[in-house]
Amino acid sequence: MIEVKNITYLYPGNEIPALEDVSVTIQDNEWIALVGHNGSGKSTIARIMDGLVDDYQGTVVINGIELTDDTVWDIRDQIGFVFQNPDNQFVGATVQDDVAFGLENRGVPRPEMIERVKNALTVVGMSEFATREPSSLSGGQKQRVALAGALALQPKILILDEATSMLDPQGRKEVLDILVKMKQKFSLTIIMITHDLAETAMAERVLLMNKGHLVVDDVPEKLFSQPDIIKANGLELPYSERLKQELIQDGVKMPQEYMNEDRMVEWLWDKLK
Amino acid sequence: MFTKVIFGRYVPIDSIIHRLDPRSKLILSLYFIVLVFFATNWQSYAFLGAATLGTIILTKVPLKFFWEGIRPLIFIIILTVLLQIIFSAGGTTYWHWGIFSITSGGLINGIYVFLRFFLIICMSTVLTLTTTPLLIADAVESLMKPLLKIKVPVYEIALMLSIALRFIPTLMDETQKIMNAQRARGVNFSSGSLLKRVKSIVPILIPLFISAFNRAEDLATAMESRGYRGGDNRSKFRILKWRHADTLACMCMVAVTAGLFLLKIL
Repeated sequence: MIEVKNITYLYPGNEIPALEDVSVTIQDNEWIALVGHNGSGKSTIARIMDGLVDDYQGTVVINGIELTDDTVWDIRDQIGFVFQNPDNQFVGATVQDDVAFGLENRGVPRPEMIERVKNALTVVGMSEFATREPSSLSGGQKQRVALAGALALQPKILILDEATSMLDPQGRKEVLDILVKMKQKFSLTIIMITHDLAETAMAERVLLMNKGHLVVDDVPEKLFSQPDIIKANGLELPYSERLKQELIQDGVKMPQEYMNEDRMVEWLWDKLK
Repeated sequence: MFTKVIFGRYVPIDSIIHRLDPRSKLILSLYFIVLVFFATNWQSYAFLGAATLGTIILTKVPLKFFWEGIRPLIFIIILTVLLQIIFSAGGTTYWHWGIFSITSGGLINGIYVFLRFFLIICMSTVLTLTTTPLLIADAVESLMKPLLKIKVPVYEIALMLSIALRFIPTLMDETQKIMNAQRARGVNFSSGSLLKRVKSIVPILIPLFISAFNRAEDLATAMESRGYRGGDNRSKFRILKWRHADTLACMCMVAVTAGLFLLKIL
């Protein structure tokens, strides 16, 4: 369980705080989508949870341990973090070295390390690339390696800071599919930061941030049925919702609830019959 | 323009030399360079040449790669050889003008210098062609271990080396991208006076510098989030293994040394 209480944070040199009195509780095994436009404070809050940002006000408690200077390494052991830029977070000289990096830091003995690296690479489907160098991989492949590196540490919580934003649609789909698999297999808590509302449809709960405040905390379907709130916070509706809006404007009577693309196809098919 | 980097010219072939432990390759090639300076007569040079040739054949690497290793240094070799020929004295004088002279001693010296260069470059090329930069970095780390006793931060140096090597291709790509981006905006890198050309490098260097800082920042955060707290108490994923072949290679080098000194005495 992640408990974040009354977090306020001001970046050095800024006048407006990046976060103002943000509180949120995340249960085990939950899939959270953290959305908001640029500068809404979503990356900052994720970094605070991992102890990567200092000098904030408020408290963070991860699985019963309060985040302090003494416990920060214990807390990082429980959190896997995948960042946005696939190139800049690739530490190892080859794929398997990169996956092993976190294990090396924790002093895991070598035979166990080999086993865990192999398993993690199998889960993300990169086993045959184990000895390849980062310069010979695509962006999506590097991001899958980063996922494997986080997974090898067997974290309870996985934070993805716009991990798919530099990928093409194909690479993005691959990474998201792996996430779904990983969550089932390892009962992970996933916190996914994104701009893309279509990605949030996969989540169980959406946290919408704006100007350092938590504005909405709800299931995705509820959020999508409130297009005014989404627009007011500088985000764009998912495709199926936009289609729905246009149809309503053309005088078609549509159901209130959110429909994903499959549901929409079904509904239209029924109507047309 | 970036394809001629000395590092990373590794040729992936499976040969006895490729499979040797990088530590033995590093030590032996350094040792051989020292050994070359002990050769003082024709027989010893011929002997070392044969040893080098044998090693080159064992690598199974096509000879043209060795030629590429020598080519950039040809100017220096020719210059040094010429200076040796013109300025050294001794033996019969063939030609004389002021302080310049060509003598038989000078000619022999010149040829020796040429042979020395040739042997040293060939052996160090053997090292770089048959060992990945990563393994060379591992070997350096392993060989520096004794320095831990005098508080040299060996693990940190090794990590720096390995990260630097890993980012070389990434930064090369980025340089190329920045160059193309600046070209598209009208910067001309290939004409104008020397001063103008030097000035045109600035629009490459500064963006590259800034992006390197950003990368460093991102990388540091990523490393920290994955639990990196300095070199102590870390286990290692890659380990080097000393095999029988390495012992054998060392014994061969001992035999070469013995042979060389025997030839000097005779």
